[in-house]
Amino acid sequence: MRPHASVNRRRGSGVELQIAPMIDVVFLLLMYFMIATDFSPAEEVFRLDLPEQRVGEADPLQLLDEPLRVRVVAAGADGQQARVTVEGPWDVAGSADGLRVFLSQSLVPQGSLFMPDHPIVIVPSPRVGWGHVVAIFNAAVAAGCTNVTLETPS
Amino acid sequence: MTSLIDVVFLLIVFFVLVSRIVDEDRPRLDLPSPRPPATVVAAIGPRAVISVVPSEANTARYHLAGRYYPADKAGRAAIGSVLTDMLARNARTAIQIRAGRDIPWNVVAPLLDEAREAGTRAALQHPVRVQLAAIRERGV
Repeated sequence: MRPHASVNRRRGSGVELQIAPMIDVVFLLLMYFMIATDFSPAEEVFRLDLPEQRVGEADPLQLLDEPLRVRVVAAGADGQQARVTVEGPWDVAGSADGLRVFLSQSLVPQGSLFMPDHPIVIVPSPRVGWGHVVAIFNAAVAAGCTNVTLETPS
Repeated sequence: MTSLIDVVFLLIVFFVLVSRIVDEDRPRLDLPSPRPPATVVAAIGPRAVISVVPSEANTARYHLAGRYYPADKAGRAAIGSVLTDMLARNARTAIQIRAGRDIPWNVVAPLLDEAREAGTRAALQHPVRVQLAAIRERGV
């Protein structure tokens, strides 16, 4: 009655799924990704060059290049917040975002106040959290500043 | 053979899941995650990773090269000595500072001074290279 069906059954009876090669390939892929994967891909860094210690070495011909000093002080009732002020006649909103906007609009070529390599010195107060310090550092770097450093109390 | 490969495969998956994959040299920390991040991937090369780990009673400890140091003058002096040795062996060593986001600045700042002084003691011909670690949030 159904010759085609019986022929297909006879042909299909010899087919066997080869699992071993597939597992071999999966095994190799697993090993590859284990070796190639960085297991902490989200951790990145800011680069910072610490100025060298030089005592009594001032170049009399060097132009005065006054750095822009950004102060970060603890704020809020519990001191967990931070407030940013910039020394000088600058009108800056007291947050990391405010600093980023100010610097973005002041740096050449968008603005005309500072060159991108103008020194920016961040001066945190002692109790400010490291997260706030990094947020301010990040704001300056994100705005395009290439010469950002941290001033230590000593 | 198939059964053997199956078992090996399962064992590998088991150990991958169970093993602690994080590098022992880097304690787990709640690192800062600024937005939008302007961080860069750390360059490959010799590094001295100093972690500032929160401790009990609002204190902190430093961690460098598998050892913990107290966050006081003696601890910082010991770290400075280790850094000087590392910089003297390889002047291209970068000093990576990993600090939890709630650590006060006055605990982290002396490490920068120690790094600078270590560079002076090691007679480097260039500024000390420092990396400040932060987290880049996924999808940001």
